[in-house]
Amino acid sequence: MAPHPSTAVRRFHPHVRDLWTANVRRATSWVAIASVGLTAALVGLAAKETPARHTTGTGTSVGGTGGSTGTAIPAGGSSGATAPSTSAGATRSTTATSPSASTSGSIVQPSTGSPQVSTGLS
Amino acid sequence: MSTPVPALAVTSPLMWYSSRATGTVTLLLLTATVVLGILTATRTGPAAVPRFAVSDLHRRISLLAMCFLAVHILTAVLDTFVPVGLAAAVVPFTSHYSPFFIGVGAIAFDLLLAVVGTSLLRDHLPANAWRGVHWLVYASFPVAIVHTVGVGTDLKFGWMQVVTGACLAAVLVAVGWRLWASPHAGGATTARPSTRGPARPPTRAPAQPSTRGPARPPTPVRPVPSHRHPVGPGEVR
Repeated sequence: MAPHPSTAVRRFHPHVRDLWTANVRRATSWVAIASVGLTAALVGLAAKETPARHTTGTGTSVGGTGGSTGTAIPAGGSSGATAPSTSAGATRSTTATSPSASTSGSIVQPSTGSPQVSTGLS
Repeated sequence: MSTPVPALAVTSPLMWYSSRATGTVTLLLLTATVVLGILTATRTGPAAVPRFAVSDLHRRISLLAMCFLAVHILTAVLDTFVPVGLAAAVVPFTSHYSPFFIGVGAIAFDLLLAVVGTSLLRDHLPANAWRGVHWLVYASFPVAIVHTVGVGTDLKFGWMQVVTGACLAAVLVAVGWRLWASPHAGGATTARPSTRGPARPPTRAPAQPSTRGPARPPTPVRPVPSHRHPVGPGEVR
Protein backbone atom coordinates (compact mmCIF):
# COMPACT_ATOMS: atom_id res chain seq x y z
CA MET A 1 0.00 0.00 0.00
CA ALA A 2 1.55 3.24 -1.08
CA PRO A 3 1.32 6.18 1.24
CA HIS A 4 -0.75 9.10 0.22
CA PRO A 5 1.36 11.50 -1.78
CA SER A 6 0.68 14.27 0.65
CA THR A 7 1.72 12.18 3.62
CA ALA A 8 4.72 10.54 2.12
CA VAL A 9 8.02 11.54 3.60
CA ARG A 10 10.07 12.95 0.80
CA ARG A 11 13.68 12.04 0.88
CA PHE A 12 16.11 14.57 -0.43
CA HIS A 13 19.53 14.01 -1.70
CA PRO A 14 22.08 15.27 0.81
CA HIS A 15 23.30 17.86 -1.65
CA VAL A 16 19.78 19.18 -2.10
CA ARG A 17 19.30 19.24 1.63
CA ASP A 18 22.55 21.12 2.11
CA LEU A 19 21.52 23.57 -0.56
CA TRP A 20 18.24 24.29 1.15
CA THR A 21 19.90 24.54 4.52
CA ALA A 22 22.26 27.14 3.10
CA ASN A 23 19.32 28.99 1.61
CA VAL A 24 17.53 29.01 4.93
CA ARG A 25 20.65 30.21 6.67
CA ARG A 26 21.01 33.00 4.15
CA ALA A 27 17.36 33.96 4.51
CA THR A 28 17.71 34.04 8.27
CA SER A 29 20.71 36.31 7.95
CA TRP A 30 18.74 38.70 5.81
CA VAL A 31 15.87 38.65 8.26
CA ALA A 32 18.30 39.41 11.07
CA ILE A 33 19.85 42.27 9.14
CA ALA A 34 16.43 43.64 8.28
CA SER A 35 15.38 43.37 11.91
CA VAL A 36 18.42 45.27 13.11
CA GLY A 37 17.84 47.90 10.46
CA LEU A 38 14.20 48.20 11.39
CA THR A 39 15.17 48.54 15.03
CA ALA A 40 17.57 51.34 14.20
CA ALA A 41 14.92 53.06 12.12
CA LEU A 42 12.38 52.79 14.92
CA VAL A 43 14.88 54.16 17.41
CA GLY A 44 15.44 57.11 15.13
CA LEU A 45 11.73 57.59 14.70
CA ALA A 46 11.15 57.46 18.44
CA ALA A 47 13.92 59.96 19.04
CA LYS A 48 12.44 62.23 16.45
CA GLU A 49 8.84 62.05 17.54
CA THR A 50 9.21 61.97 21.30
CA PRO A 51 12.15 64.19 22.08
CA ALA A 52 10.86 65.59 25.33
CA ARG A 53 10.47 62.51 27.43
CA HIS A 54 14.03 62.04 28.52
CA THR A 55 15.61 65.34 27.80
CA THR A 56 17.53 67.07 30.50
CA GLY A 57 15.68 69.94 31.96
CA THR A 58 16.81 73.33 30.92
CA GLY A 59 15.05 76.06 32.67
CA THR A 60 12.38 74.48 34.76
CA SER A 61 14.19 71.71 36.51
CA VAL A 62 16.31 72.80 39.34
CA GLY A 63 18.75 70.91 41.47
CA GLY A 64 17.69 68.11 43.69
CA THR A 65 16.61 65.15 41.70
CA GLY A 66 16.27 67.17 38.60
CA GLY A 67 18.70 67.86 35.87
CA SER A 68 22.27 68.11 36.91
CA THR A 69 22.97 71.02 34.68
CA GLY A 70 19.67 72.70 34.78
CA THR A 71 19.43 76.39 34.87
CA ALA A 72 17.89 77.64 38.02
CA ILE A 73 14.96 79.90 37.97
CA PRO A 74 15.26 81.87 41.09
CA ALA A 75 12.47 83.10 43.19
CA GLY A 76 10.94 86.11 41.66
CA GLY A 77 11.59 84.91 38.19
CA SER A 78 14.78 86.69 37.50
CA SER A 79 16.94 84.98 35.04
CA GLY A 80 20.55 84.37 34.68
CA ALA A 81 21.45 82.46 37.79
CA THR A 82 22.85 79.09 37.04
CA ALA A 83 22.87 76.66 39.87
CA PRO A 84 24.59 73.44 38.98
CA SER A 85 23.21 70.72 41.10
CA THR A 86 25.51 68.67 43.21
CA SER A 87 23.17 65.77 42.99
CA ALA A 88 24.28 63.05 40.69
CA GLY A 89 21.02 61.24 40.84
CA ALA A 90 18.56 60.92 38.11
CA THR A 91 19.47 63.31 35.39
CA ARG A 92 16.48 62.77 33.20
CA SER A 93 14.05 65.21 34.55
CA THR A 94 11.08 66.17 32.58
CA THR A 95 8.96 69.17 32.83
CA ALA A 96 5.94 66.98 33.35
CA THR A 97 7.05 64.66 36.09
CA SER A 98 9.89 66.34 37.85
CA PRO A 99 8.86 67.01 41.39
CA SER A 100 11.14 70.00 41.53
CA ALA A 101 9.84 71.71 38.47
CA SER A 102 9.30 75.25 39.37
CA THR A 103 6.62 77.53 38.34
CA SER A 104 7.25 81.13 37.84
CA GLY A 105 7.65 83.04 41.01
CA SER A 106 7.89 80.08 43.35
CA ILE A 107 10.82 79.25 45.51
CA VAL A 108 12.53 76.14 44.42
CA GLN A 109 13.78 73.74 47.03
CA PRO A 110 16.10 70.94 46.09
CA SER A 111 14.71 67.65 47.21
CA THR A 112 17.99 66.06 48.12
CA GLY A 113 21.38 67.20 49.12
CA SER A 114 22.20 70.36 50.85
CA PRO A 115 19.83 73.25 50.70
CA GLN A 116 20.53 75.10 47.57
CA VAL A 117 18.05 77.83 47.11
CA SER A 118 18.86 79.99 44.24
CA THR A 119 18.32 83.61 44.90
CA GLY A 120 19.49 84.92 41.66
CA LEU A 121 22.60 86.30 43.22
CA SER A 122 25.54 84.20 42.44
CA MET B 1 25.98 65.87 48.43
CA SER B 2 26.14 63.57 45.54
CA THR B 3 24.32 60.39 45.07
CA PRO B 4 26.30 57.67 43.37
CA VAL B 5 24.89 56.59 40.08
CA PRO B 6 24.11 52.90 39.97
CA ALA B 7 26.46 51.08 37.72
CA LEU B 8 23.73 49.83 35.43
CA ALA B 9 21.56 52.87 35.47
CA VAL B 10 21.39 54.24 32.01
CA THR B 11 20.39 57.80 31.72
CA SER B 12 20.37 57.96 27.98
CA PRO B 13 16.99 57.83 26.28
CA LEU B 14 18.53 55.39 23.86
CA MET B 15 17.56 52.56 26.19
CA TRP B 16 13.98 53.60 26.20
CA TYR B 17 13.85 54.00 22.45
CA SER B 18 15.62 50.67 21.98
CA SER B 19 13.16 48.91 24.23
CA ARG B 20 10.26 50.24 22.23
CA ALA B 21 11.88 49.42 18.90
CA THR B 22 12.91 45.91 19.82
CA GLY B 23 9.45 45.28 21.21
CA THR B 24 7.95 46.11 17.84
CA VAL B 25 10.47 43.98 15.98
CA THR B 26 9.91 41.12 18.41
CA LEU B 27 6.20 41.25 17.71
CA LEU B 28 6.89 41.01 13.98
CA LEU B 29 9.32 38.12 14.41
CA LEU B 30 6.96 36.33 16.76
CA THR B 31 4.21 36.68 14.18
CA ALA B 32 6.47 35.24 11.51
CA THR B 33 7.40 32.39 13.82
CA VAL B 34 3.80 31.49 14.56
CA VAL B 35 2.77 31.69 10.92
CA LEU B 36 5.73 29.60 9.80
CA GLY B 37 4.99 27.06 12.50
CA ILE B 38 1.39 26.76 11.37
CA LEU B 39 2.51 26.46 7.75
CA THR B 40 4.82 23.68 8.80
CA ALA B 41 2.23 21.86 10.86
CA THR B 42 -0.45 22.05 8.19
CA ARG B 43 2.05 21.21 5.48
CA THR B 44 1.11 24.14 3.40
CA GLY B 45 3.24 26.69 1.71
CA PRO B 46 5.09 27.13 -1.52
CA ALA B 47 5.30 23.88 -3.36
CA ALA B 48 8.83 24.64 -4.45
CA VAL B 49 10.07 24.90 -0.89
CA PRO B 50 10.50 21.62 0.94
CA ARG B 51 8.87 21.38 4.29
CA PHE B 52 12.07 20.72 6.15
CA ALA B 53 13.29 24.09 4.92
CA VAL B 54 10.16 25.82 6.21
CA SER B 55 10.59 24.01 9.51
CA ASP B 56 14.23 25.02 9.70
CA LEU B 57 13.34 28.63 8.95
CA HIS B 58 10.68 28.48 11.67
CA ARG B 59 13.25 27.37 14.21
CA ARG B 60 15.81 29.99 13.23
CA ILE B 61 13.33 32.84 13.18
CA SER B 62 12.03 31.81 16.58
CA LEU B 63 15.53 31.96 18.03
CA LEU B 64 16.01 35.35 16.42
CA ALA B 65 12.76 36.49 18.00
CA MET B 66 14.00 35.35 21.38
CA CYS B 67 17.21 37.34 20.92
CA PHE B 68 15.24 40.49 20.20
CA LEU B 69 12.93 39.72 23.11
CA ALA B 70 15.95 39.47 25.39
CA VAL B 71 17.20 42.85 24.18
CA HIS B 72 13.70 44.27 24.64
CA ILE B 73 13.60 43.11 28.26
CA LEU B 74 17.16 44.11 29.08
CA THR B 75 16.76 47.61 27.72
CA ALA B 76 13.49 48.01 29.62
CA VAL B 77 15.20 46.92 32.82
CA LEU B 78 18.28 49.05 32.30
CA ASP B 79 16.29 52.11 31.44
CA THR B 80 15.75 54.06 34.60
CA PHE B 81 12.79 56.10 33.50
CA VAL B 82 10.26 53.38 34.21
CA PRO B 83 10.86 51.16 37.24
CA VAL B 84 10.78 47.70 35.69
CA GLY B 85 13.01 45.36 37.58
CA LEU B 86 14.58 42.22 36.31
CA ALA B 87 12.33 40.14 38.55
CA ALA B 88 9.26 41.86 37.18
CA ALA B 89 10.26 40.75 33.71
CA VAL B 90 10.00 37.12 34.78
CA VAL B 91 7.59 37.09 37.72
CA PRO B 92 4.19 38.36 36.62
CA PHE B 93 2.46 41.26 38.30
CA THR B 94 5.39 42.37 40.43
CA SER B 95 6.23 45.50 38.53
CA HIS B 96 5.62 48.86 40.10
CA TYR B 97 5.05 50.38 36.71
CA SER B 98 1.84 49.23 35.02
CA PRO B 99 1.79 45.98 36.95
CA PHE B 100 -0.96 44.32 34.95
CA PHE B 101 0.36 44.88 31.45
CA ILE B 102 3.99 44.36 32.41
CA GLY B 103 2.84 41.21 34.17
CA VAL B 104 1.07 40.09 31.03
CA GLY B 105 4.30 40.60 29.14
CA ALA B 106 6.11 38.54 31.76
CA ILE B 107 3.60 35.75 31.24
CA ALA B 108 4.21 35.82 27.50
CA PHE B 109 7.95 35.72 28.12
CA ASP B 110 7.62 32.78 30.49
CA LEU B 111 5.49 30.86 28.02
CA LEU B 112 7.97 31.48 25.24
CA LEU B 113 10.83 30.45 27.50
CA ALA B 114 9.07 27.18 28.18
CA VAL B 115 8.45 26.59 24.49
CA VAL B 116 12.00 27.37 23.44
CA GLY B 117 13.51 25.48 26.35
CA THR B 118 11.55 22.33 25.68
CA SER B 119 12.32 22.60 21.99
CA LEU B 120 16.03 22.78 22.71
CA LEU B 121 15.68 19.75 24.98
CA ARG B 122 13.32 17.97 22.67
CA ASP B 123 15.41 14.86 22.26
CA HIS B 124 15.36 14.32 25.99
CA LEU B 125 11.64 14.85 26.53
CA PRO B 126 8.61 12.69 25.90
CA ALA B 127 6.98 13.64 22.67
CA ASN B 128 3.64 14.43 24.24
CA ALA B 129 5.25 16.71 26.80
CA TRP B 130 7.07 18.63 24.11
CA ARG B 131 3.93 18.92 22.02
CA GLY B 132 1.82 20.01 24.96
CA VAL B 133 4.25 22.74 25.88
CA HIS B 134 4.58 23.81 22.27
CA TRP B 135 0.87 24.46 22.13
CA LEU B 136 1.47 27.24 24.64
CA VAL B 137 2.55 29.36 21.71
CA TYR B 138 -1.08 29.83 20.88
CA ALA B 139 -1.56 31.32 24.34
CA SER B 140 1.55 33.45 24.34
CA PHE B 141 0.75 35.36 21.18
CA PRO B 142 -2.54 36.95 22.31
CA VAL B 143 -0.94 37.64 25.67
CA ALA B 144 1.88 39.44 23.88
CA ILE B 145 -0.68 41.42 21.92
CA VAL B 146 -2.37 42.48 25.15
CA HIS B 147 1.01 43.57 26.49
CA THR B 148 1.65 45.55 23.32
CA VAL B 149 -1.71 47.26 23.42
CA GLY B 150 -1.49 47.93 27.15
CA VAL B 151 1.94 49.49 27.49
CA GLY B 152 2.99 50.11 23.92
CA THR B 153 4.02 53.73 23.74
CA ASP B 154 4.11 53.70 19.97
CA LEU B 155 0.53 52.55 19.70
CA LYS B 156 -0.53 56.16 19.62
CA PHE B 157 0.97 56.31 16.15
CA GLY B 158 -1.01 55.07 13.22
CA TRP B 159 1.78 52.93 11.81
CA MET B 160 2.03 50.95 15.03
CA GLN B 161 -1.68 50.34 15.02
CA VAL B 162 -1.36 49.05 11.47
CA VAL B 163 1.57 46.81 12.44
CA THR B 164 -0.26 45.39 15.44
CA GLY B 165 -3.42 44.84 13.47
CA ALA B 166 -1.53 43.17 10.65
CA CYS B 167 0.27 40.83 13.04
CA LEU B 168 -2.99 39.91 14.73
CA ALA B 169 -4.73 39.37 11.40
CA ALA B 170 -1.90 37.23 10.06
CA VAL B 171 -1.98 34.93 13.06
CA LEU B 172 -5.77 34.77 13.09
CA VAL B 173 -5.81 33.81 9.42
CA ALA B 174 -3.13 31.20 9.99
CA VAL B 175 -4.95 29.74 12.99
CA GLY B 176 -8.18 29.75 11.05
CA TRP B 177 -6.44 27.98 8.24
CA ARG B 178 -5.09 25.43 10.64
CA LEU B 179 -8.49 24.82 12.20
CA TRP B 180 -10.02 24.51 8.76
CA ALA B 181 -7.29 22.33 7.37
CA SER B 182 -7.14 19.86 10.23
CA PRO B 183 -10.62 18.32 9.93
CA HIS B 184 -10.49 18.46 6.15
CA ALA B 185 -7.17 16.76 5.97
CA GLY B 186 -7.54 14.43 8.88
CA GLY B 187 -5.40 16.43 11.24
CA ALA B 188 -2.09 18.12 11.03
CA THR B 189 -0.29 14.84 11.16
CA THR B 190 -1.72 13.62 7.91
CA ALA B 191 -2.48 15.22 4.64
CA ARG B 192 -1.94 18.62 3.20
CA PRO B 193 -5.31 20.15 2.39
CA SER B 194 -5.80 19.85 -1.28
CA THR B 195 -7.00 22.73 -3.33
CA ARG B 196 -7.63 20.56 -6.32
CA GLY B 197 -10.49 18.53 -4.98
CA PRO B 198 -11.42 16.20 -2.21
CA ALA B 199 -8.64 14.35 -0.54
CA ARG B 200 -8.00 10.88 -1.71
CA PRO B 201 -8.67 8.12 0.77
CA PRO B 202 -5.52 6.97 2.48
CA THR B 203 -6.03 3.41 1.43
CA ARG B 204 -5.87 2.27 -2.10
CA ALA B 205 -8.96 0.70 -3.58
CA PRO B 206 -8.95 -3.04 -4.11
CA ALA B 207 -6.89 -3.89 -7.08
CA GLN B 208 -8.77 -4.28 -10.27
CA PRO B 209 -7.77 -6.96 -12.67
CA SER B 210 -5.44 -5.32 -15.06
CA THR B 211 -5.54 -5.85 -18.72
CA ARG B 212 -2.08 -4.44 -19.24
CA GLY B 213 -0.07 -7.06 -17.55
CA PRO B 214 0.66 -8.47 -14.17
CA ALA B 215 -0.17 -6.30 -11.23
CA ARG B 216 2.75 -4.48 -9.71
CA PRO B 217 3.37 -5.39 -6.10
CA PRO B 218 2.36 -2.64 -3.71
CA THR B 219 5.05 -0.27 -2.60
CA PRO B 220 5.95 -0.93 0.99
CA VAL B 221 5.30 1.84 3.41
CA ARG B 222 8.50 3.36 4.61
CA PRO B 223 8.55 3.04 8.38
CA VAL B 224 8.99 6.21 10.32
CA PRO B 225 12.00 6.10 12.59
CA SER B 226 10.95 5.49 16.14
CA HIS B 227 13.09 8.26 17.55
CA ARG B 228 11.12 10.90 15.71
CA HIS B 229 8.52 12.77 17.65
CA PRO B 230 4.96 13.14 16.53
CA VAL B 231 4.03 16.28 14.79
CA GLY B 232 3.37 19.25 16.99
CA PRO B 233 1.97 22.66 16.22
CA GLY B 234 5.20 23.82 14.69
CA GLU B 235 6.82 20.73 13.41
CA VAL B 236 6.57 18.31 10.60
CA ARG B 237 7.44 14.70 10.53
